[in-house]
Amino acid sequence: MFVMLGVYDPFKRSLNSKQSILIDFVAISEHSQAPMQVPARNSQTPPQQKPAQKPKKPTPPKSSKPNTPPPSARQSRTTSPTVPKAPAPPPPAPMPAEKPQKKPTPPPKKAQPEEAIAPPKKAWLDLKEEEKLLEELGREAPAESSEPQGLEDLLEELADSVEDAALPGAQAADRLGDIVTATEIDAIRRHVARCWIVPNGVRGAKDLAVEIAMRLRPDATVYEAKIVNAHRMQHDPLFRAAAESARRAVLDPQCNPFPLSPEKYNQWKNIELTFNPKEMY
Amino acid sequence: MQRYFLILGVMIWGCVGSVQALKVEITQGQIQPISIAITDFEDETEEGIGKQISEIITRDLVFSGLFQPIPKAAFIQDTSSLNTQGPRYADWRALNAKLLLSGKVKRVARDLIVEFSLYDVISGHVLTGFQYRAVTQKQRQLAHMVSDTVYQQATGEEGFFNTRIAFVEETGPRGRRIKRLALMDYDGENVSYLTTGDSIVLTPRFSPDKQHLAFLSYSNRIPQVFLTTVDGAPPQHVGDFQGMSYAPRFSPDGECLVMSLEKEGASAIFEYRLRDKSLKQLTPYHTIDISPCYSPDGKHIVFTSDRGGSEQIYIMNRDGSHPRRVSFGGTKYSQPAWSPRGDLIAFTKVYQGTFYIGVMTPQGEDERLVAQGYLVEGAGWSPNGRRLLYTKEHKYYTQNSGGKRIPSATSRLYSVDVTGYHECAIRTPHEASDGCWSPRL
Repeated sequence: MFVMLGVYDPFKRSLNSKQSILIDFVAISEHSQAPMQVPARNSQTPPQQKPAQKPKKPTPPKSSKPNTPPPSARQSRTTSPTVPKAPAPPPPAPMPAEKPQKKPTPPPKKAQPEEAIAPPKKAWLDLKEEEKLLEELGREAPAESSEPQGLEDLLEELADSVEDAALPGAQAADRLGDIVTATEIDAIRRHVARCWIVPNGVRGAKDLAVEIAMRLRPDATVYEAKIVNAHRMQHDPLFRAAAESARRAVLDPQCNPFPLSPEKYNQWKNIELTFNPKEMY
Repeated sequence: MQRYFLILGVMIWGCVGSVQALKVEITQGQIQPISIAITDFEDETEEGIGKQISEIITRDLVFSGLFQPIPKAAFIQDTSSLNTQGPRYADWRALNAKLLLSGKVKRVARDLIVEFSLYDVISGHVLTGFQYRAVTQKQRQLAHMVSDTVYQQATGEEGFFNTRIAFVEETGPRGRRIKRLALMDYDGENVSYLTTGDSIVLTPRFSPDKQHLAFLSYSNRIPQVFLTTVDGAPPQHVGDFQGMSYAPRFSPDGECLVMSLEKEGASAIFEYRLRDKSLKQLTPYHTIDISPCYSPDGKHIVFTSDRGGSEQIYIMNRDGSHPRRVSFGGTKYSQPAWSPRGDLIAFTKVYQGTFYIGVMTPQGEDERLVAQGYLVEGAGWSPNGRRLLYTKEHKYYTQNSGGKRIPSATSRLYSVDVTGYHECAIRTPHEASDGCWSPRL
C-alpha cells in the first residue's frame, strides 16, 4: 500500500548496508555551482562519467571536464520534480526519509549523456533556459518516471545512477537533508547490545554509566573509541572495568560494521554512546 | 577583511556542525561470562608446574561464574610464539576471546617466580602484568594470586581465590555424628583439622587477622565459645560464663567478640573485649536474641530476635541502642550475615516448609532469594562480598531391614553468586556444614 501511494514502506529494508556505493560529497556552495554531469545509461557514457565522478572536490562548475556539461544543480532540482513525481514528494514525509526516494536520481543524467551542452555561465538558469535544456535532454527519463514508480524501480535507478557516477551535486542535494531516524537509532542499540557484557552483581552496578565517543569510517566500522571521563578510571576500579567492557563492545569485530546508512555518513560518523545498565536492575 | 572573517566564521561553523556527534543511549546488554583464553604458562622448571598453575587459574575463574575459558584445543597461536613475539590478536579474535592470559614459571633457588600478562584482545593492548614469588610449596597460592589479579582487572572487584574456608566436617551415622573443626583452601585443597572430634563443634568464625578462629564447642557438655588458631593451638574457653554462650563473631577491628549468652531460658547479646576480657550487655534478657553480626564499619550489629513474636532480623547500633526491625516478609527470618561490601545482609528464610537463602539491603528493601532447598542455612560471605557460602542438605530415603523407608540427608557446603547465578558445591573430603570464608590471605 505504501508503495502504491508512492510513500516509502517503512517496513521494508532498502539497501543492503554492506552494498558498496560510491559516494561523493559536496558542500552546498559547490553543489550550486557544480556542473551537472549527465550519466549515461549506455555503455558509452560510463567512461566519460567516471572521471567526472572522481573529483570529489568537483571542480566547480567549469564543466571543463565533463564533455557533457551537466545542468546546474538548480536545473537538476527543477527537473527532478518534473521527472519523477514520486521522488519529489520525499521532502515532507521522508524525514524518516527513505533514501530510495531521495536517491531517485534525477532523470536528466540518463538522458543523452553524450550531447554536449554548453556549460552555464552563471550559477543558475532562468526559466526559459531551463525549459530549453529540458527539451534538449529529452523526456525519456521523465517519461519513465512520470508515473509513480515502484520501490524496486526506484532502488534500481538509484543503484544505476550511483554506479554510473551520477550527479554528485544532485545526489548531495537529496542527502543533505537526511537525518538518522529513530528506527536506525534503535537498530544501533540492538546491535551494540549483542556485544556489551553488563557489569552484573558489582556494587553500584546500576549507577555505572559509561560514555564512549566513537568515530566511524564510511563503511560504518569503528576506528576510534574513546572513553569519556577517562580520568575516573584511575581511582575507580569498578568504573574502569565497566568502561573497558563498553569499549570492547564497540570495537568487537562481531559488532562491526554498524547498521548505518552510508548515505547519512555525515550524520553518524561521530557517535557518542552512553552505556547505562540501570534499566537492567 | 570583514568579509574574510565572515567567510572564516561560516567555515568554522560548518566544521563544528559537521562533527556534532550522534548521541545514543544503550540500556540493554548481555549478562554472560567473559570469554578468556588461558594459555599454559611457559615452564622453565620443566616440572609441569606451568600447566598446573594455568589449570588452577582456569578452575578459579570458572568457579566465579564470570569467565568462560576457551578450550585450549582451539588455540591458533602457540605458547612459544606468544611469549616471544607477543599476541597475534587476530588469531585470538577469531576465537571470540575478549581476554588473553599468558605467563611463565621459573625457579630461583627454592622459590618459584610466576610472571604473567593479561591482554585485551579486542583493543589489542596489555591490561596488566605482574610477577609473584614464593616458596615452591606455595605454588597453588601463587596461582590463586594470579586469578585474583585477573578477576580484579576484569570486574573491578577484588578477587577471593587466595582464601581459606573453615568448616565443620561431619562423619558417621546420623544420631552419632562426629564433628571436627577443619580448615582448607577455598577450592578444597590442603585440608587440616583443628579439633579431634571428641566433642561437637559448630559455627567457626575467622578473625580479621586470619590467624584465629572462634567457634562453639560442647567440650564442657554445654555449648560455649572457644578460641583457637589456624595452626591448631589448644582451644581456649572465652569468658567465664556459667551458662551457654554461642554464635560468636569477631568485630572488624578484631578487638571484640559479639555473642549470645543464655540465662533462664532467654538469650541476650553481649560484646566481649578480648584484651581486657570485659563484657558489655547490648540487649535485655527478655526474648531470644541470637546470631549477632557486625557491620563492616563496626558501627552496627544485625541479629535475630523473636521479640516481635517470631524470628525476625533486627539492626541496632553497636552500643545496643535503637534496635529496629528490618525483615517484613511475613515469615521467619534468621542467621543474618552482613556483606563485607556493606550493601547487603544475607539471611535464612523459611516459607511453607522450604528453606531459602536471601539477601536484602540494610534498610530491609530489595529482598532477593538466591538459593533454596530442603535445608539451606548459615549463609556467610566471600571477602569481596560477591559469593555466598552456606550449608545445604539433600534429603534421601533408605530402607531398613523391615522395608520401611527411613529419611536421611547429606550435608554439603555450597556457594552461589550474589546475583543468584552459578550455584556450585564446595569440595570437601566428607559431609560438611557451617562454612566460614576467611579474609584474603
